[in-house]
Amino acid sequence: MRTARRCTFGIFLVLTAAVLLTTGCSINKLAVNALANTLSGDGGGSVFTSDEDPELVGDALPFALKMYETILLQSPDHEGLLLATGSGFISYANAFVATPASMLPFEEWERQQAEQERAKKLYLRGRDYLVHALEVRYPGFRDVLELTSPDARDQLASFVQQMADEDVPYLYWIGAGWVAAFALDAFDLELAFTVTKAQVLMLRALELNEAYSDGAIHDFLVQYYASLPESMGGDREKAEFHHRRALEIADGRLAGPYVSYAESVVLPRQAQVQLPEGDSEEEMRGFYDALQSVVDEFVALMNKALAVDPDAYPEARLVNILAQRKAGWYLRNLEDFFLLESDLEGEEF
Amino acid sequence: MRRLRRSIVLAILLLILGTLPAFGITIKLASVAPEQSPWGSALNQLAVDWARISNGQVRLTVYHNAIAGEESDVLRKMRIGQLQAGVFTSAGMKQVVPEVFSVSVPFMIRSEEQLNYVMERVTPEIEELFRENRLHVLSWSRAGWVHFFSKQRVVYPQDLKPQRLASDPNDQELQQAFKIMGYTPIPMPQPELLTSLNSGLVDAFYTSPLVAGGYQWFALAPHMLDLKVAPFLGTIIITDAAWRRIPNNIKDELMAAARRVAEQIDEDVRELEADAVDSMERYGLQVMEVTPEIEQAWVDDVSLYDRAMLDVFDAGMTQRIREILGEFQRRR
Repeated sequence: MRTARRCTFGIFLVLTAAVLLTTGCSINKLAVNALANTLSGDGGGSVFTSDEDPELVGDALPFALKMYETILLQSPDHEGLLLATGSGFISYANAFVATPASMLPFEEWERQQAEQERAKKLYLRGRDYLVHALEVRYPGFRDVLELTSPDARDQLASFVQQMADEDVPYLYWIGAGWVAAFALDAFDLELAFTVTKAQVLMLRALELNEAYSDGAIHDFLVQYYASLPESMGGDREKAEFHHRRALEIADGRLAGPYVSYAESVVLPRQAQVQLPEGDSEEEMRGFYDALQSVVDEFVALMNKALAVDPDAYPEARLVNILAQRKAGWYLRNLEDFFLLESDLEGEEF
Repeated sequence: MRRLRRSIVLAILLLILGTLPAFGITIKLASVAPEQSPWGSALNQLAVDWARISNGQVRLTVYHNAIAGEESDVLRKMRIGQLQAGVFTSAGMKQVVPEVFSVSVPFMIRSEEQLNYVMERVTPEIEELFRENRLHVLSWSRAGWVHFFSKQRVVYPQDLKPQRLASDPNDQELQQAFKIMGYTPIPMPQPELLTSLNSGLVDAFYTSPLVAGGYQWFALAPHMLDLKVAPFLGTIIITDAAWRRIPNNIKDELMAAARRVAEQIDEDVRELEADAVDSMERYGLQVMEVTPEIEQAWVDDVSLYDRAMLDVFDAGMTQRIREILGEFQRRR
């Protein structure tokens, strides 16, 4: 209740400021920056992340984000506000657009597609605010990022060496927004050609602070290495390593690492269960048992996610609630993801 | 008397329930394509269409992203009843009906017009061959045109012949065909192609522009010859066992829906292929334009091996396609 009231007050503050700014009231640069500092300060984000009501946050965020953009018109290079805006767009796209769309029933496929297209745009919009922030901090960053030469990746890796601890949130959110947009449109070749640059940024962030945001970089890399084909840098062993580290750092406080590992590593594992040479009852039993063990592992991980107490770690209450929703949805729809035994007969051909 | 009344109540209840949409049959369909692709979108649309047409009686559950394994795995899973339907390219189809691969004889079919003309005429025969294997073809689409990509610029056949040409081990026929024609094919599984290009184990490969861009192989072999080497097809196939369970009165509509989504796939793939070439050009791809004189050089070269191709691909179907193409030429 107290949290909700705090959030409502925040929106009120935000809306009031928006009205003032858009009606041309003479707020000087200093006042704008003071407001930007308040909104992007340490306490700003926790108003959202510690909330227990995802719908409330989902409804409030678009207002807040438009407000941030309005202030950025007055103070376009405010690094803190650029971070709050960029990460806000990416979080909103993920938690309140792409993820709910992925859980729509198949009859609403067209709506799902429209929402995913929307999420892709929001991810890239968020990423671009953050790229601008790093450009302000490190002039030339954007040029290096946009190189298309064969050594572009190496040049970027070299450029980001000068970055430090305080740049980690920017590096992380640029990488997260970039890869999330690509994941929603694998045939956008412009994104496909550049997505390894997101990995460069993420690896630099990992070097600087591997425990950032309770192991979020490790959790990201689990999905990155597990989802890409080997020829584009996919690596199952690395995915396993980062999952172990993500769990160690989260120390049982987060549901997300269980869900992301289950969907990106365990779910595809069913394709590797080898069909037997013959089709005797014993051989087929062995095949279905092996398949069932993959399902069992998936279910166990989702149950671990559901067992996390969201109130035990208020800073991550919102993300835990959202991850648990996803886990529950997977458990209710297992048959849509796993090829379990069928009651239909086969066909000789 | 009481039992009779209970039976009547039960019958009425069943009647009421029968009028409500209920999933009578679930068809599990697997595809190796990502869900976020023209193929994924088309299959999701098909699931919606089939549910609507059948008033909820037929539910199509789509397993995207190769979750059921590669095309050969999907075929086996259809045999054991774990799956009832699948999406296949020419490479998968030929495992059941080898004749289908005759459509992909190098340099035989060289334009969309030729391909459409040929497909209109051979589709009934090929579908009959699938039926003999107790499989039912729901629709046909295009999986893309194969092109050559190479490290060094290629204009004429003699430029490519000495280069080590990566060839997917699943395409034995193409590998053999290129060998007969004097090329230097090296069996190379797709996951190893990038490393092999990097290490110099191979110098060139053949695939569709969409695949070359999607896997970024073109970055290490940045010369594309703008010559259609061969078309690859795509199809949606269902087992007869599952098809038989679908009520006859809706089968035509279900087929029509499958054809509609296939047309959409064709349109999207054509657009994506053009976009793929544009995008790759921005990232260093050099496209070698093909003049009529250059094209003739390739045609003349391959004509030397016409007879030999009949030993590699199904002779009957290959010969039949050649006749159809001859007819196509005469009509123009």
